[in-house]
Amino acid sequence: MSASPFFGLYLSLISGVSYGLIISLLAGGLSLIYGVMNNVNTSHGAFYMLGGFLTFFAVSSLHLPIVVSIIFAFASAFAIGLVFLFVLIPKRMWVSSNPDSQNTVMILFLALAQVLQQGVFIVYGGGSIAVPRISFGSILAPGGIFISYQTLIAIAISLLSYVGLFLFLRDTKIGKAIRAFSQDRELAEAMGVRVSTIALIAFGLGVSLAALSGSLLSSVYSITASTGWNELVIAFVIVTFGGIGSISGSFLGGLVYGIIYAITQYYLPAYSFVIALVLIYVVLVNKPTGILGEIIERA
Amino acid sequence: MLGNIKLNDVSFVILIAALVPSVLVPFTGMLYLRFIMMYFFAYAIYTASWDLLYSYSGQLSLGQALPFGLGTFFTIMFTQLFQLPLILSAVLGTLAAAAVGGSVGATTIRLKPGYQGIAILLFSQVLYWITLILYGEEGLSVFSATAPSQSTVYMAGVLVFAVAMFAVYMIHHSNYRLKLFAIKGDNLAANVSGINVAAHKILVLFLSSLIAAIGGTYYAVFTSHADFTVFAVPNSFLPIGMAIVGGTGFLGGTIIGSAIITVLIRVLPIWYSLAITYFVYGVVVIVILRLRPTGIVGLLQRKTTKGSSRVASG
Amino acid sequence: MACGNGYIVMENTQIVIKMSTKPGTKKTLAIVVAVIVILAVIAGAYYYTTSTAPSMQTTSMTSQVTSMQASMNATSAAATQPIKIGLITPLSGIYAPDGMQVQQGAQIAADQLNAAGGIMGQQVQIIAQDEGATTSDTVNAAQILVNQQKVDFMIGPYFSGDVRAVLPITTGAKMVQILTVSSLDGLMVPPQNQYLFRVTLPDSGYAVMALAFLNMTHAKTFVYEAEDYGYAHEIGSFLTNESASAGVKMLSADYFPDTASDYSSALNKIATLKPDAVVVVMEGTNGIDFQKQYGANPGVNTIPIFHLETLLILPTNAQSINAAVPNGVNDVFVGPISTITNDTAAFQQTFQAKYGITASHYAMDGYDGVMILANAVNKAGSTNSDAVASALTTTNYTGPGGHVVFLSNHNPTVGPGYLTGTIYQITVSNNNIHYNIVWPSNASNSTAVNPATGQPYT
Repeated sequence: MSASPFFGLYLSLISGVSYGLIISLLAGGLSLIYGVMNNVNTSHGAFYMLGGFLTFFAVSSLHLPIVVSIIFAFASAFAIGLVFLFVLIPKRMWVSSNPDSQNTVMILFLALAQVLQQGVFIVYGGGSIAVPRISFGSILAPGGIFISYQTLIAIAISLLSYVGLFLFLRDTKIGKAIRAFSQDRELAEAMGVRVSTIALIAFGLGVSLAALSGSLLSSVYSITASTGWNELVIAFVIVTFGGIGSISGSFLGGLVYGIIYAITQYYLPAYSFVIALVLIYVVLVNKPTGILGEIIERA
Repeated sequence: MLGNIKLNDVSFVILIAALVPSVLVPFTGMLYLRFIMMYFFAYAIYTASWDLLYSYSGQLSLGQALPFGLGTFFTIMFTQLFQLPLILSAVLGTLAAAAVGGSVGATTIRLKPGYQGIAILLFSQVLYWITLILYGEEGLSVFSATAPSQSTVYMAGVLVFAVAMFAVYMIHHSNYRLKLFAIKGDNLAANVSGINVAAHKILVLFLSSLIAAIGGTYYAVFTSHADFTVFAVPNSFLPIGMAIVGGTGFLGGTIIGSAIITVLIRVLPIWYSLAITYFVYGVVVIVILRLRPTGIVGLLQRKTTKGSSRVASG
Repeated sequence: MACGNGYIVMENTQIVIKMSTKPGTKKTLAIVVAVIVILAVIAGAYYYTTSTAPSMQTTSMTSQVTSMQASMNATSAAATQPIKIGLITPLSGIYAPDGMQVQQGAQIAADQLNAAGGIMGQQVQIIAQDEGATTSDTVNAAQILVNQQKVDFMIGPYFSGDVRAVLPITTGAKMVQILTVSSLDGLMVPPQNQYLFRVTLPDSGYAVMALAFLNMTHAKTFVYEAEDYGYAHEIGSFLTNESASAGVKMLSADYFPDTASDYSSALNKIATLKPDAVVVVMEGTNGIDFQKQYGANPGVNTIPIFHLETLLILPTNAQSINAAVPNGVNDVFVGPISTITNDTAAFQQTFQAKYGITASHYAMDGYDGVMILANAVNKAGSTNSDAVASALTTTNYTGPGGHVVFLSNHNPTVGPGYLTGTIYQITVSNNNIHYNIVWPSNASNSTAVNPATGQPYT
């Protein structure tokens, strides 16, 4: 088949956009945790990795179908997140503006990431895990461009998750409490919102979004016990771009990141990540609220 | 200036207590212990640099690997690529790294601590990828038939450690610290009192980068190697972990925290796998922080209800 | 904690009140405790490092047998002076499965030697350390082996970059060092190769294999996709230099960091350039990722592809790709660098019986490394490095990994009858993975098949 001149670029854009959408879930989770708890979850990348391994565990050991396994990964990451928050972090540090407390929490989460990473290694060894795809085959478009069904399904699941998240935050009691709490802490507390419950839900939800990302991407890219640090940096990049605390900012930030990354990947594969980092650094130094921070209303 | 040394101050005692065995180690013939001590020197200096920045000027760096790693890289680069003698490479490397680190930090002073930390981290990641592209996975190694002996390198380390730590101690106990606390506490009030906040923040950033660069340079000297992993995210968090475990704000805390963690991650691999080593490291950090969130030295230092307590007791 | 901010002071005061320690003599107590803590840390390190208890590094179930064997060896070894062979190999991270095979192969050699009375009557002990994820872990491992465990000889490290970083330590200790995985020709130059010997196929040999593949598939043009390591660049430059005389043209060479996971740019380039063949050098999970994406891409997956030094040689990995991408590994060529000899099958059986998994060339070269060293020590009559190095230069050894004769630069001879490597083609039928040997001709049991047509090459 004859390829259109930009066919390679289109393919890159497709994979870039789908990657960006899925990874924006990871970033959205980080954003949610920071927005509510004022703490940076440095173990976020480890939960991404855990999502992939939980899915693999469900498929290979529990023999669940792949779609159920993804849901399993999401739910168990939520539970694991709750347990660790309870055990690891003293309650008074769950929501805090005190920099000393924030730093201690960051170090505790980092230690958690180490423990998770090495724990997974001790159980599974150093090899990568292969999670089967939900569907095989692809749609062929003229010019040699194709999209695999797996990519389409992964995009669909991410979009569904965003819609679900949006509805959760807008319509449910807890969701409204979360929004109220992140906008005005004192007022929300005065109205009877319990800090610890909100923090728990937000953390659990945030890390399960990270796990969902890992789950969806583990069939395309290998995941090993040491995966996750890069994804943490990517999450920072996206959240900085979209504005901390804003879910829709993360969504758009992820899209933009995916597109920029795909374009630079196509022309300068070795430098793509560096370019993305430099761009974000420039943005951060000049506009700390993020480029989209003023345009997008907080979710 | 020497009057600032309080002989009964905990931090000073700990520093001396660290120096005395360090000098004795080479005479024990324990070669591996000597190697562990060299790590300790490099990382204690590294941790002191982070703590200075954080506890004394309120600026958070989540990417302290930037000046540390640059110290490592520039030293190896100057030795390997430009064939300069080791001492010259070390001095130039340290200064170059301090300059770059301070300059990068200077662009972030107007940001809130969290954003500032992330900005520096992002820049350290830029270096991570650039050094990976330029020098590959394997980085640079120096193989020289005329390399100084390990004993020489070790004693140099003791000297560098002593000088750097005394310098940090002096800064901690100088009158300059009062200005820094003012900056840390309330920028507006400091400005109104005539203190040029921006200038001092930048000065401390350069100082902190210099000290971190010294640590990184020594690291390059005793490993003869530099690769991109020196800029990895966990390496930026290592000094933070060491400082918090030992207790931030005190040189004694820095030394104790660095000692504990260095020994942990260097001694355990003798018998156990690296996975178990880092697993235990994670668990130990969690346990220490849960039991003593102020760090180990925190329980030794007396505090009073007055805000000036630590300043007065030294 | 530092003060100057009223809020923080209040927090600290609360903490102090909770701790409620005695005032007054606190300062003296504090000083005493601090001194004790520091001295305890130093003394602890001193104590631990004096108790030399060399042990095997084990991280998985398959090595449990190895560690039991090792402790049995250690007990008998303690009675008479054992000969200690240090081994640096990845025992964690993505290269752990292969790294452990090196250890397992070496251990089989040690067991056989010890069953026959050891070397010069002394028992052989393999002491392994994890190469780790970073070079500083490797340097640490070398320090432990050389300065703490005081080994007599060194095998490894695995990665050429780590070998470079470790050379100052081993050459400083004048220690004979055997490379069973690292392939960088650039290492074998004076003065650092004085005690350094390689028993595995070097990069120049990899290039020969790649050219054989291109010849077999009648390719006139090819692209080279590799991981960004020194050895991969070296193979690339060998290929560049030799392709003209071999009648092939390299259209493009791309290098990726081994953490890269998205190869769409490479695949796009291949789809645009349409080479006759693709040569890949990615030895970790990056190779698996690449093949997953290659096999799934209808624009390129009919072009014959050759993976040199790959994890795809393990059936489980091939299966996992097959599960994710139907026919994602069909007709793929893989080139482990092991050379099949008369000893290979027997070793395979011994290994399978002991560890329950298939032996790769990592295990075979690990075995050969120990055996070659043992032969040289026996010939030299001592463990003196100069004597052993001299004895090594006269090595003429055939083992499961190949026939080893050293050149003047301590690289092994490459060519038919010595070390060549082996090329397999993977075929899939009913979801079963088959590996068919297609090269060299004295070992082949099958003819190579063209992926585009399904027919054998003429």
